[in-house]
Amino acid sequence: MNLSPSLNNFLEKTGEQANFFTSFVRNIFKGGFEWNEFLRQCYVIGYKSLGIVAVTGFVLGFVFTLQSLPTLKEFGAQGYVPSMVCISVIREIGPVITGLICAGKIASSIGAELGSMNVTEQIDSMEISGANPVQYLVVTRILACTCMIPLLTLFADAMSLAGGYIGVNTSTNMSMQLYFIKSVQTLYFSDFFPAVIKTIFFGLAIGFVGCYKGYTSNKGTESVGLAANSAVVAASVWIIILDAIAVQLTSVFVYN
Amino acid sequence: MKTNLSQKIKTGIFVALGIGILLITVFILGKQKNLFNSTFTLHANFKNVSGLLAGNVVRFGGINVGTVDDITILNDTTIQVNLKLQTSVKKFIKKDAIASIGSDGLMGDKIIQVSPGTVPNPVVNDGDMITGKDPLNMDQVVTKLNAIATSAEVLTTNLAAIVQKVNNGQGSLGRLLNNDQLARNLEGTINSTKETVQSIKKGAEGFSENMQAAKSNFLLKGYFKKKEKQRIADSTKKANDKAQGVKKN
Amino acid sequence: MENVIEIKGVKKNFGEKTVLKNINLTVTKGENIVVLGKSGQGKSVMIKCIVGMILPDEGSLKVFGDEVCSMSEDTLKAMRTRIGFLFQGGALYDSMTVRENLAFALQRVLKITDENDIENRSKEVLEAVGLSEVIDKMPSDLSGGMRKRMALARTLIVKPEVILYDEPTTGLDTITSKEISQLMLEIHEKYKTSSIIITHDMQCARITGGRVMVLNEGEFIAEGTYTELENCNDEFVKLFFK
Repeated sequence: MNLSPSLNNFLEKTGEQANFFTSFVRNIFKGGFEWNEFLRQCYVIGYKSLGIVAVTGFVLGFVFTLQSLPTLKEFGAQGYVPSMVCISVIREIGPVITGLICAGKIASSIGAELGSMNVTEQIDSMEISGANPVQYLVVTRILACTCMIPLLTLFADAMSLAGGYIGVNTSTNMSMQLYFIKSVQTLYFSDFFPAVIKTIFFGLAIGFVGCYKGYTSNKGTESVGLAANSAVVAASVWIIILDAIAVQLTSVFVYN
Repeated sequence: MKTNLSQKIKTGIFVALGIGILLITVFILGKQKNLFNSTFTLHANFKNVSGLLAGNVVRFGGINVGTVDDITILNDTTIQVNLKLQTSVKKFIKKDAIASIGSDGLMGDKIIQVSPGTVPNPVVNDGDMITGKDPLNMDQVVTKLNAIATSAEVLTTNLAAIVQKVNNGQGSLGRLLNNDQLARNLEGTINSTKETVQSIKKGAEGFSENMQAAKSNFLLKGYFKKKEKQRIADSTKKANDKAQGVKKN
Repeated sequence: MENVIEIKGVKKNFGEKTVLKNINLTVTKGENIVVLGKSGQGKSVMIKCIVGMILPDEGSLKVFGDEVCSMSEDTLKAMRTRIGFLFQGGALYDSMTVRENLAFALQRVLKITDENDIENRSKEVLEAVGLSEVIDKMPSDLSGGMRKRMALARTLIVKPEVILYDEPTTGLDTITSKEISQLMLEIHEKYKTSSIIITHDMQCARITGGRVMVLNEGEFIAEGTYTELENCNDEFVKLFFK
């Protein structure tokens, strides 16, 4: 094929990723699922990221409430702050911010881990010993991400509501029950489920990009850093793109 | 690498909590949407639902008791709205209840308000039809506003005429405001008052001179002298009393 | 004698660069072959071709009588379980303990689930390489020499028929590399394995070597026993024996 070199390169990379993805999918159903490694990855990805995600979610809700209060107060609409914060956090901000934070934390660590395993020939060694490195390393990590990111997002959402409650109470006194009722009164399934579904795809993107960048890195030491770095960048971009697609799909199919 | 027991437990707690949040949210949202409560259905026909949507809230006595389930067009002038209400409010709604479309606040969503109906009528059954009261049409509002504007125009024209008359000094109000005769009269009154006060003052001075003259008159001298002596005696007595008081102390 | 590995006319290019020009090599059962060569002459590429990690452009490559290039995934996997491969850096799985490193291939490739069996095998190979006491340590806690022994133990645990050594003594001091070389010889005698040892360490070649082959610019230019080659007149071969 005689296309321009950059286009050629792009197509080659795309094909490589598609291959990687199909080998991931094939290996899920191959039998001999690595439950132990999967659980360990769930622990590392889910439990170990809970702190940062919870803090971010809390501050997000708190700050968002504080920023909205003065403006809405001018219109006498400060009573709408809880439901506004709740809807925007659950529909959009919670999933995207959690996704980006996890892209930074998880995609980079997966990229660096697999990258360094690649450099020190551990992946080759697994393959030559007859074991299946894709099944052991890639499938477990991607699936763990896919399962854990939605849960982490739910935690972030819950913490955001708590932060919003504290934020509202800096200027007025609102009981927790009233705040809660006001928050969820305008929330519908059509706000909640598309958001949960899109976080599943965010998780898939984070896991896939991290694994792909690490697994296919070059055999030099500097490629470990490169793998980690490009994993974060690519995963973040993917999250933004997926979010845009999700918003379009929801507005076409759900709000129509 | 194997996961040890505490890692497994932590992961387990994490996953359980996450799924718990998911289920709670589903339950809360479902409760709002009457998914898990027992419900019954009422129908109401309207000519115009002015933007009501499936999923809007139904209120009874100001309380959210259900949602709009479905809106269908029956024929060119009739829109049927199906209301899904909680069974717990069924016993308060009579057959002559009226469903009316209103809005929640100035900019809020459309809502349906269900009135209870009157006592002698029996309680509604599932699937009953109740009367739908058409919402205030925007066209009607505009027509009314138009009438108001017309009368306002008449009013302002009349007002303008009145003001015109007042300005020209017609009528008693106009004269009062426009004629300065009154002010001049007032000024004259004040001046004559001043003169009167002056003459009273002069009279008083004359009386005082007369009294002075009377004092020096011999006929009355004895009386004045006596009065003087008495005054001196009084003051010496007072001084003595005081001196004695000082000694005692 | 049965041929375990038979390489005929193998060629491999990476882009413009020819790495393997014309490789012919036959390894019989129980034979010990040392491949000598400068860095970057395609020694590692050659043994990676043998285990099917890299596919050659031309030529035939038979392992245990089967053509590697045309193997199905399952036969390739089965073939790999009969071959041990010792990587240059050891390639120990650094997120696992020594015990888990040893058990990794056993559980996944040989499908051994009996804990006692795994334990016995682990102890046996660790004893064979003289590392009985480190079973619960992490690879990062081991010294360079211990890591090499450990890697050798992990290669041995699946009882391979052929072991491929990729520069086993690189990065070790003279004394340790001598110990490792002697260990390799011991294992060769004890487990009756065939082996291909890729090295540029002459001490290692002398200790372990049966047949020594010299690789230059993608071709074997000389072969013979260590002493034969020591007295060889070829200019390039002489460079190694200086």
